[in-house]
Amino acid sequence: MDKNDLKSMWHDAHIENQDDTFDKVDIEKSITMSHCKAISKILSDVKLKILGYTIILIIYICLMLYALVYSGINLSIASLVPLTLAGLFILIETTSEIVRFLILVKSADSLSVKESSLYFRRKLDRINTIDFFSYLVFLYMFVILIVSGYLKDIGGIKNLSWSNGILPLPLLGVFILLLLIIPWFLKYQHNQRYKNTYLSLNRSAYILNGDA
Amino acid sequence: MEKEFIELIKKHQGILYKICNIYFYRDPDKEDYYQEILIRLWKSYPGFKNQSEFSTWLYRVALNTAIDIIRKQTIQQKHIELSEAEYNIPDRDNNTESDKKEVLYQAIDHLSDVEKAIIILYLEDYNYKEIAEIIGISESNTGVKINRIKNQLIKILKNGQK
Repeated sequence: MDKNDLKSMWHDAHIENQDDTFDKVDIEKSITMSHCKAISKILSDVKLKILGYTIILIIYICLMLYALVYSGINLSIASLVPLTLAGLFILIETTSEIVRFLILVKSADSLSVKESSLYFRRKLDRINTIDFFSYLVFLYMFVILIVSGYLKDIGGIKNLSWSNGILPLPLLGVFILLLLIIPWFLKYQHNQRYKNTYLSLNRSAYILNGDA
Repeated sequence: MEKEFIELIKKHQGILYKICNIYFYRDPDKEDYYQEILIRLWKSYPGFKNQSEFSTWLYRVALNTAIDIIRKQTIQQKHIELSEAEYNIPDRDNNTESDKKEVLYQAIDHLSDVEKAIIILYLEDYNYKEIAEIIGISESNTGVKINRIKNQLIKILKNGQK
């Protein structure tokens, strides 16, 4: 087979087989829509998840405020640790879905294919970086608060032991370590979640940037 | 503006059909994605300033949209992977003329998103300069890429399988 055969094969194929698959699509009606059904479905699924997680997060915050501020309940560290972790989990899931939504809604169609790919890559990387640093700052500040609370011995934290019926200090150390690791874990999770997208982008970049 | 746009689309809709068939080969939502390309073309249309041919602009936006949809499918883990049997390309000599399209589309489906964009423009008789402009690479690089992709396609077609 000769290289020039490809063009003749392509042209022959399209002369003989007139495509009528798309004939039923109404152009006038289509351009009044904001997205096609399949994309709208993807977006509304993500929106629904964001809404669900936001509601849970609001309920969680309200309950915590009610218990700690309004009712003045003094929670032990044994109760605070799982509650904080649960709150963090909801927060992580909410922001993760918001990030996904932001990636889905933006595009640069009028640029060249290369520039459009770079735009998408930059957006994906920027969202990843913002996500990483927000958690890094938030969680590390949380750790600083815990450590300063320990140093100042707030609530007799230095005397924690199993015999007091509350969690011992090593567990508090593990909790702090967890908080320190979470941003890095999220970075890893982001890379895993978008592994296929990054693979496709890397392949595109290789083709578009490769030496002639 | 709407009438003018619809007229232009009707005149060039063969291009869009081909892009959809190349990028969403065997995808049950193919018609839907064709609609999404129309929507995105309409949204980008105010930015079209007649600095290039309408068809060149159309290719650029449609190719970017098709690639973007595939990326978003990947994000949602909805990208359809064809089975080995589906990837099996029949021997060209045993096909009737009407099977040519299927054979060629199956072979092109082995290419990456960017390679598909380059080859579709080449097969549609665009010159290196126009292809380079739409893709965003140099003219000399375009020539090299086209040659590589053509060789790759011929190899796939000859072997029947990658």
